Amino acid sequence: MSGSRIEQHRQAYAYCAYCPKICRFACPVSDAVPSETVSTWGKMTEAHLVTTQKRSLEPGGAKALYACTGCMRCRTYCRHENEVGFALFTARQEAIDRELAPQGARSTVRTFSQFGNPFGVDLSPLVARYRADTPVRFQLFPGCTTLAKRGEVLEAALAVGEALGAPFGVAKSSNRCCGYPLYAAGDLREFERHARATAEALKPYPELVVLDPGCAYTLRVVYPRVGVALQTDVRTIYEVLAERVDHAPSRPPMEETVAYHDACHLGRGLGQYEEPRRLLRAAVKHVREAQEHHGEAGCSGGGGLLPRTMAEASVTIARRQAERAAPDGETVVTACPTSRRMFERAGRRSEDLLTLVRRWINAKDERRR
Amino acid sequence: MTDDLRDALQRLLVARFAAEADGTITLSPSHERELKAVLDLFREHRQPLPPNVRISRARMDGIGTIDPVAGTVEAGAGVPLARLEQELRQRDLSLGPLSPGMLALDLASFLEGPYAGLRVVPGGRLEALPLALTALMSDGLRFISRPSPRSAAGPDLDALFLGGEGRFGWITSATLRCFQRPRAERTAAYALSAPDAALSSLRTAVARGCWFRRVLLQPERDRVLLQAEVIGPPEGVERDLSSLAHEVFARGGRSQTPVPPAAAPALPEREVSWDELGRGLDEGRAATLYRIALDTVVVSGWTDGGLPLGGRGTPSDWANRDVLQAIAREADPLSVFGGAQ
Amino acid sequence: MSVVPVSAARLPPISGAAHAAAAELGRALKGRISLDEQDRLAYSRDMWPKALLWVREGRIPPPPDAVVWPRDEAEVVEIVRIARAHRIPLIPFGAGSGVCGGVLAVQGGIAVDLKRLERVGRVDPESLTVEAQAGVLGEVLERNLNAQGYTLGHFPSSIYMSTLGGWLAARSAGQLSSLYGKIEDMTVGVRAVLGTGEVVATPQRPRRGPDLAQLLIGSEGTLCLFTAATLRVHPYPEERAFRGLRFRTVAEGVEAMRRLFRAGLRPAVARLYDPFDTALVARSRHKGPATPPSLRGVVRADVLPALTRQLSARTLGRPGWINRAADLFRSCLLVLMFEGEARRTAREEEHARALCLRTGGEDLGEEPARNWYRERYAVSYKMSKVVDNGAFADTMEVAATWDKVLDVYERVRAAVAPVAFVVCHFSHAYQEGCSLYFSFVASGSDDVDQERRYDQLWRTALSAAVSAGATVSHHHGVGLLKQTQLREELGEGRRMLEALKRACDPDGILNPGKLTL
Repeated sequence: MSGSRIEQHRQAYAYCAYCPKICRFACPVSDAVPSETVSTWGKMTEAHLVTTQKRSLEPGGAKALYACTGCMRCRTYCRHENEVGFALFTARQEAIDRELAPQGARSTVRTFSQFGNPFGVDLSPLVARYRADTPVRFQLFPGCTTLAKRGEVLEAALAVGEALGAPFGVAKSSNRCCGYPLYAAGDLREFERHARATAEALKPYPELVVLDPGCAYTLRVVYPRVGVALQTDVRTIYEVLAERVDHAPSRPPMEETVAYHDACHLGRGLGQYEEPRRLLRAAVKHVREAQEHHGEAGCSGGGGLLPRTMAEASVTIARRQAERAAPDGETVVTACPTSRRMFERAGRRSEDLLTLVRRWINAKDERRR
Repeated sequence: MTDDLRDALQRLLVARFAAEADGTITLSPSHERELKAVLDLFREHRQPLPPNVRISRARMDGIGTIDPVAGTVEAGAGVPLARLEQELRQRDLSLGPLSPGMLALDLASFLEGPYAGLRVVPGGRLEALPLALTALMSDGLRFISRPSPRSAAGPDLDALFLGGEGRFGWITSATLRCFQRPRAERTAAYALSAPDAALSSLRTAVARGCWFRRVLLQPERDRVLLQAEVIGPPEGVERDLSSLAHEVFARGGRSQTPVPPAAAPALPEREVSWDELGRGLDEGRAATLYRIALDTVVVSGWTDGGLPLGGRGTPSDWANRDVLQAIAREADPLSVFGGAQ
Repeated sequence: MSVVPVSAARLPPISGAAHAAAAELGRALKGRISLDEQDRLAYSRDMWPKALLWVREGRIPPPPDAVVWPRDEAEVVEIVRIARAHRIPLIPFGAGSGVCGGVLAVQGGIAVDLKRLERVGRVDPESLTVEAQAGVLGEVLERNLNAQGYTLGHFPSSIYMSTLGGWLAARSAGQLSSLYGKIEDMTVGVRAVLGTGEVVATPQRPRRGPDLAQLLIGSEGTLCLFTAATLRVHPYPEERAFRGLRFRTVAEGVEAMRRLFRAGLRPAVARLYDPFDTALVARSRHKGPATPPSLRGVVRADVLPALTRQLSARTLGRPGWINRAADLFRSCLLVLMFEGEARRTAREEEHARALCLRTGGEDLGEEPARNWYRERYAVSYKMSKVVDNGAFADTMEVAATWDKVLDVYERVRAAVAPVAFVVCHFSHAYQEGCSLYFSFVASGSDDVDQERRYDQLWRTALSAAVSAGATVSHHHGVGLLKQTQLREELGEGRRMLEALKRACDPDGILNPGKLTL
């Protein structure tokens, strides 16, 4: 196993393999599946042995490489700042090439190659449904999960934007997936091709507001990793709305108690912790801060293709995170559609931040009426 | 005991072999080598120690090196603790706040009997008095532990001998941990509205690090009197009194004039849990407390409840009896110490 | 017992006994058993630095035949029953953070991962105790207690990657042990499954007889598998007070520490760095929050790895001159931290400071101690860089009474100087003495030479420590690493350990080849 992509991670693999597992407690996968094999140390040791040709990749080893959500929580505790998710996703290429990747990863790659997104649907009609009739200040990139599965979140985003003086219109080019599923599946060659094409498609947009933190993270952080420079300024919808929260009609927050889950890609990935909180505190009176939050926040189990490669573990991760974030059964509010889906799959009440803010705004309108 | 063995013991110990009219035989070896010879004889004759034979370690009462740097003393198993404490005080050291019942014992009885050699250290933790032990095992070999403040070199094998009633081996000497001699002692008294408040104040103060020689608790009709004798270095005593007062006042207590402490009579002592102590106070029973630890306290003068600390117990009373007896059988296969019983 | 590593490329075949037991275990555990190579590989080692040398060369310690994950005590009992029937070893496994090779499957067998036993109960506010299962990770346990308003007060450097069961098995110590004690001090009772399959629960006091818990704690998996413990907890500290002091010599610093503890003061931390360690600590300042990913490339190196890079392998291969250069340094840093109730904490710190000044100390203010507190787990990160740079590092923690501490320090330094670069700090202090924590860095001309030096280093260092009156371990345990010296330390008393073994594990199935058993 060689190549420049692997080369850039050699030190990370080695450091983790020689490390006394300092991030052991932080890995959501090895918390849910309490096995050393899927600890950061175990997975990276496998990558180290394989990439240094001390051991050839076997199905068991490939499975271990996929036991990572890419949540970056381990990085919070790593003085070496190893990007374990990136390193493991890169090592997954070997599993893809040798057809040792788990079924969920392989099928994702297949679907993607056919439809350009992991849902196997044509996103263009969905985009057309939400496109603005008139020119708008902000072009919105909802992300394929929101488009395909969470129409109500998109509608909330448009309504909230309108109310806060930030009118959004869904960008035509948002019929493309950002490519994160390819990246997480480990098909980095395909991902790079897709990223270049997407960058080209996004060229007309000097600025793009991205709804899904996973997409924003991919466009802003992951694309440069594979040498793709976007000419578009990518901002999250939370940045844009938080700047305008004071423009919201004056109204006290709703008399509700909710717990907040820091989405991994938004928080650790993009460093946006306060923006969603500003919106949340404006909308509800009681926000429960999890014991572990900001950089230490837990993971919902939705990243890294884990729901497709280790479905049961991913739900366990979501359940555990919901229990930690909302120990008294509060609704878990999150700014990530994937996280919300995971919490719901774990049987917990969850609400998207944008729909919550929309409720607050609507409540205001109702009062006016 | 067979006549052969009896003769052999008599030859070995001569005047230190004493037979009473009621059949009791007391063997009083002078030192560890002699004790080993006694045990060798029992083993060679393949006989356990019979109930009528008492081996006294009273003659093994030497006080060895007193190390003021480490704050340790080497002492023979037969040293009376009261004498040892006296000697230590002359060297500015102390065994710490022991109860009258403890001070009435020799070292071996304190270590092997129900007190299990435990004393309380600031913070309320029970800690074994010996830093290291020397003991004779049933095969006559010596068990010697290494004096170290703490260790992770396997299980703490000293634990077999502490509270072990001599079933695993007989302690012949020990290196004991000493405190600096307390240079100050102050008595403070308070009145609190209820036993709960008094015990909670006291327990929290112990957890904070307060070090008490003795505490008297006297329930009255509508209040509980708490009188504490605090010891330590002068600045430590001030700290402890301040901590105790803080806890008492936080629970609505008030200062009282202390009653001059009387000399403590050696009454029977019992180790009781805090719950049991609370129940006793609720019933109106006064309590004089020693060895006030977060786990338990030693109460002087109560005749029931908890664990009686006087005399010796038998392995049949032990917690985890089955496992401990299995160990005893392995450690003493010939049952020289009666380990299998 | 010497261990022969195997190739990571090709693991040895699974034993017949393991195959035979696997089906039964699979049924008992509802499939929570693995004979996969990947799992065997992951459970083949702990954090023993010698094994890192092997991994660097593509070798691993002999792996277990299988791994099982019981989820409750009844399943642990069942595992023991099946293992006894098949005469197959069981190796209790927490998170594998040990540094002495304690979980290496030297005779094959089944690794029993206990991390599914992870429940933490509610703190009893009256007795200030909590019951926790043995598989809970340390950091998870501490955070759970913090959320309830308490602390266990147990902060080993391995807290992120070690379990309660591991702490019990190795008689672990945390960095705040001077105040809260070691794990054996904070354990009110344990639950464990013996090698006989019997479940034992040691009761709280008052009780009669020897304390069985103290006989099981520190048994490193050779007598029992811990399933739970009742632990003493403390209200979360209201206040922390910090102080750094400089002393002119090691002897002066050790004397100040001794006087502190003899005076009955109870700092949570008292840590004296020897002169060269002081110089290294001074360079190891807090680097602020984690740098964003884009700046990764410019993150500066830490002290020891920088040292290893700057000094060639050849230089580290001949460390005598570095150690001689270290003799040029004289002054030592003492770090003190007190914590607890606010007023008491402030008073104790004041008294400690005054005492240290009377003993020749120079007040450096709070910052050195605050810096230590911020960086208290940082040292663990250095290992990766050292090993990746082709050198090796290890630490040796022994303990001695105050009268012997300086002698142990000098003898170990003198003995090790020709073999490795050595620094030391004195910590985990008590009324009677303290622990000496030596850190070694060395290299060799090639892998074989490194391994030879590694063994030589340990033989030399431990022999020097033991001959000066230290115990072989203060809190890392014995594992495979220190068995020879443990045998010496136990002397004839080893018979009692053997008796314990026969009573608790008559078939010898529990972690064979450890603790000289």
